[in-house]
Amino acid sequence: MLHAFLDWHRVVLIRKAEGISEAGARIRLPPSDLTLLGLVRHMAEVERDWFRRRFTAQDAPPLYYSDDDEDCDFHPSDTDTMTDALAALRAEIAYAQNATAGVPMDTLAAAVPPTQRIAGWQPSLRWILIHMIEEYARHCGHADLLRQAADGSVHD
Amino acid sequence: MTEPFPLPTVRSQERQTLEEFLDYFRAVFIRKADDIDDQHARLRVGASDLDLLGLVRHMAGVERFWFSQALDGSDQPDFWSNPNDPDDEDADFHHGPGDTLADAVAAWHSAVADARERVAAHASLDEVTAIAVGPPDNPARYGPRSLRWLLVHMIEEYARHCGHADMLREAIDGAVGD
Repeated sequence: MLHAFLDWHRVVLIRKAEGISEAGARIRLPPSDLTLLGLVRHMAEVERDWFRRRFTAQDAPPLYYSDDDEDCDFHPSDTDTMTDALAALRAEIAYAQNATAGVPMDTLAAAVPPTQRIAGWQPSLRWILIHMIEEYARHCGHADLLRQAADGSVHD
Repeated sequence: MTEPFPLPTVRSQERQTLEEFLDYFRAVFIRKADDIDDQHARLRVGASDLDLLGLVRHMAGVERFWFSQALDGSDQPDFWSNPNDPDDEDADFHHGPGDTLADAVAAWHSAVADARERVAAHASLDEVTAIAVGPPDNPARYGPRSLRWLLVHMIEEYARHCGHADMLREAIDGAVGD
């Protein structure tokens, strides 16, 4: 059931981002600096962090992080495209789905990154999936308002 | 704004994890309405007609619907009605000029207190709602839902509306985060 809820929100966010122009992907609702392009890049990074680096302890460097801008996922350059961002997100989702299919919910994350702020903080797959559901849902809330501002569409 | 709520713990069993996440998002959500006047509670952003007053009224109604009317089959009435349109199913979002955020927040607190008591009275996450929910013309999606489903649904419902509230609150006074 948790997998189904998470997959649903993955689909909703991708739909919010599909079929939009590169200009529409950069629309903001000030003072917020969130954009649809930034949200898709962010969720690709979040999927990668939770499922590659933490749950399966894979040595996977961040996609967008830079020392100059820790929130680089949210801050695309003029040449970054939604096409590339969606491809990255779909690749991370495919990895996560494969890595968690059939795995017991009490399984603990294999890695605790050295940057983890709380010592010994090692969540179960159940915790990670619920967290991912609310993380996606909250960003889908942001995407709702951005997509409606871009072209008026409001559906899931 | 009041102090943030503690993050859900990571080693809990299933039920505690779900209840902690739900309580966390209830706290995040209602903090977005802290220290807001009735004018700011009506502020909108972009092309959306959502506002904080409508969102708080909506979540009060959602708590009552799922945990009282659906889970327990109670006959508690809906919180909100539209005096100009008795059939308006979005009366929560369509408030009038005399409606206040204080009344909405009070309704929300009352619905949440009632919901917590009702959930505590159900021993198993496998227990199902007293009524069938979903689209009656879609057999695959129409039927009773388990308490487990209900808790996960409420987490994502709160989180998505917290996303809306994030943008509204930032537009009001710049406040962001949990």
